[in-house]
Amino acid sequence: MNKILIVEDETAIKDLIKIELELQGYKCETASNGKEGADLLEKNVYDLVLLDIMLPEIDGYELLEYIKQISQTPTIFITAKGQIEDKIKGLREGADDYITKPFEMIELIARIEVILRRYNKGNEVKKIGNIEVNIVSRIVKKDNKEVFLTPKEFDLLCFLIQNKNFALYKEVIYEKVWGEEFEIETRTLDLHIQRLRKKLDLKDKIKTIYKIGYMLEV
Amino acid sequence: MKFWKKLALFIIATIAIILAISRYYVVNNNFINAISDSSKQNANKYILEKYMIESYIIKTIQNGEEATNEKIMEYVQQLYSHMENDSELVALYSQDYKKLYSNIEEIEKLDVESILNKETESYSLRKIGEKHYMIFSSNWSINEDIMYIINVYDIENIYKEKKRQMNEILFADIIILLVSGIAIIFFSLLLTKDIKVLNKKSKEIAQGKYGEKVKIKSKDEIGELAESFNSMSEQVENKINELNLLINQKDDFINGFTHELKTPMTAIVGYADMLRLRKCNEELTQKAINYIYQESKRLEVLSFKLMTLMSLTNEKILMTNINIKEFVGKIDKVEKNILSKNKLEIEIEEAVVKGDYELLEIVIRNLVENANKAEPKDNKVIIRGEKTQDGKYKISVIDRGKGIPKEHIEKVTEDFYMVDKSRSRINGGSGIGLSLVKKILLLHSSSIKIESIENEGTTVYFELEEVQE
Repeated sequence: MNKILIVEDETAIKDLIKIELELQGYKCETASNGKEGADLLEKNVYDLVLLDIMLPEIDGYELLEYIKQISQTPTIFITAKGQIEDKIKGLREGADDYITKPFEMIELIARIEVILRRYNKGNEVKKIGNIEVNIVSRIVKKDNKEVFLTPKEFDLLCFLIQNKNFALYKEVIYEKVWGEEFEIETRTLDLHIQRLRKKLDLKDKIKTIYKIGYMLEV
Repeated sequence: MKFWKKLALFIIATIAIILAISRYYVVNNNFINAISDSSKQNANKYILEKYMIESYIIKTIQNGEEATNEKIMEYVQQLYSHMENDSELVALYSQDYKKLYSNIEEIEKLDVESILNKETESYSLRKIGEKHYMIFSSNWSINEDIMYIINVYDIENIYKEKKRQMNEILFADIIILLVSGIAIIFFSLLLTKDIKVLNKKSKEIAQGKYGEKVKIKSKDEIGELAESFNSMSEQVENKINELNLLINQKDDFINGFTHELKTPMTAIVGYADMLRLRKCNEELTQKAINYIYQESKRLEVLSFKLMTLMSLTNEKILMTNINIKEFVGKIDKVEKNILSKNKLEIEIEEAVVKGDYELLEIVIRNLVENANKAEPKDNKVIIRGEKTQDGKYKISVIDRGKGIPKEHIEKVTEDFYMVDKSRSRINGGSGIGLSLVKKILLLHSSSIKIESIENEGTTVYFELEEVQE
C-alpha cells in the first residue's frame, strides 16, 4: 500500500484528495502548511508528496527543495497558478508533475499512478480473484490465459476496479468511460457490462444495483 | 526634396536673380550715359560742319554765283577729305533722294528716306553690318531746291564697352554665387542638423523607445521644438508607464481573482463528482455536502464583494447627512453575531458627517471584521469617532491583535492581498475587503491610513467631511 503525503492549506481540497485517494487504496497523511509538511517528512517515509505551491509559513517551492535534500520522494505540485512560467519553475526545481486547479480527481489519480510506476512503486497489475489486469500493456488474463477485450471494455473494467465496492450511477459511469453525455435509450453500457461478465466470468462480482447502476464487489 | 536643399536652392536663386537685375541696371545706365555724352559731342561736330557748308553756300550766293549741287558736292568732298578721322562720314542727297556724295560704303544699306523725312533734329541709332552708328540729318533750301545731308558717327566703342562691362560683372556675379552658394549650403545643413536629430529620435519613439530625449540647446524655434519634443516624449513615457501599470494591476487582479475562484471551484466540483458517481455512506455524503455549501458560500461572498467593487467604479454615490452615533449603533447590532468572542466598544463623539450610508457601512464592517480576525488579546474591537481640528471627522477602528508585519502594510490594500493566507481563509477572508474599503473612501475623497505594530495591534482610520450645523 503506497503512502502519500498531502500538503495543502485549503481544508476542503485537502479532505477531498484524502478521501478519494483512500478510496483508491492509498494511505494518506495531511499537512496544512509547509512547516507541518516538513516535520512529517522528517519523521516518515512517503512514496509520493502532493504539494500546494501557495502555502503559509514555508511555500511549496521551499518545501520541494527540502524534500529533494532529504529523499528521493517523487512530488506532484498542485496549484491554482496556471501560468507556463510557474509550471516550468515547478518542474525545473525537481517536481515530477504539475496539476492546476480546478482539476478532476480522475486526472490526479491517473498522474499519481504514472509517477508511482515510474519510481517502480506502483502496481502495473491489479488483481480481482483469478483475473489479472495490466493497466500499462492493457492485457487482461484470466487463470493466466489472455482474454481479449475491446478498448472500451478494458476502460470500463479499469473504471470499475478503480471504484470497486461502490454502487456507481449508470449515467456517470457512461460519462466517465465514454466521455459523452448519457442518453436514456442507449444500451451501450449494459451491453459492455454483459460482455465483461461473460468474457471474464464476473457474473457474481459485477452487480446490478436497482435504480442506481452497477457495482464491482470484491 | 530635402528641406536643406530647398532652403539653399531658394536663397541661391534669389541672390542670382538680384545679381542679374542689378547687373542689367548698372550696365544699361552706363550705356545710356555714354550714348548721351557721345550724342552731345557728335551734335556739336555736326552743327559745326553743317554751319561750314551753309556759310560756303551763302558766300557763293553773295559772290553772285549759283550754288549748284555740283559746287556744294565739291566743297563737301574737299572739306571731308581734309579730315583725317575715318569716323567722319557724310552723305549728300538731292531733293529726289538721289545720292550726290557719300564717303560711307554702308549708306546703301540704310533706309535713307525714313532718315531724311524725320521731323526732329535729334539723332538716331542704327546698326549697319556689324557696327553701330549715330546718325544726324538735316536739309537746306537753295533756289527752291532742297539738299539733304546725313552725318554718321561710329559709336561701336560704346557698345564694346557695354559688352565688356557685362562680361566683367557676370564673372564677378558667378564668383559671388559660388562663394555664397557654398556658405548657404553649409548653413542650411547646420540649421537642419537639429531637425534630423529630432526626426531620428521620433522614429526611435515610434519604435517603442519611449522617453527618448534630444539634446538641443539653441534658443530659436528649433530649440523650442526640441523642448516641446522632450516634454512630449516624457508625457508619452509617463502615459505608457501608467498604462503598463494599469495592465499589470489588471493582470494581478485577474490572477488573484482566478486563484480565489479556482480553489472553491475545485472543491465544489470534486465533492459533487464524488456524490454523483457513487452511492456514499451517510457520513461521507454529509461531509461532502457541507464542503460544497461552505465553498459555494465563499464564492457568493467573493462575487458580492466583487460586484460592489466593480459597480463602484461607474456608479455615482449617494451623499447624505449621517448621524454618526446612530450609524455606528446600527453596525454594533449587526456585528454582534459575527464577532463571536470579541466585544465591540464604541467611543463616538456626536456629529453629522457627509457620506454614502450603505457604502460607509461596508467600510466599517470590513474594518471591524478585519480587527476581529486579528484575534485581539483583550477581546475588544474599538470604534472611535472624533472631530479633528481642521473641521473633519476621524473614524478609527482599533484592535490589540497580532498586527501587520511592516513589509505588508503598504500591500494590504491591494486586490486579493492576504498577509496570512490560510488564517484569512479560515475566517472567510478573500483578500478584497480592503481594496473595496480603499475604493469607497476614494469616492468620499478620503483615504485609509493604517498604523500597526506586529503582535501589539492595529489602528485603521479615515476622515470624513463633517456637516457644520
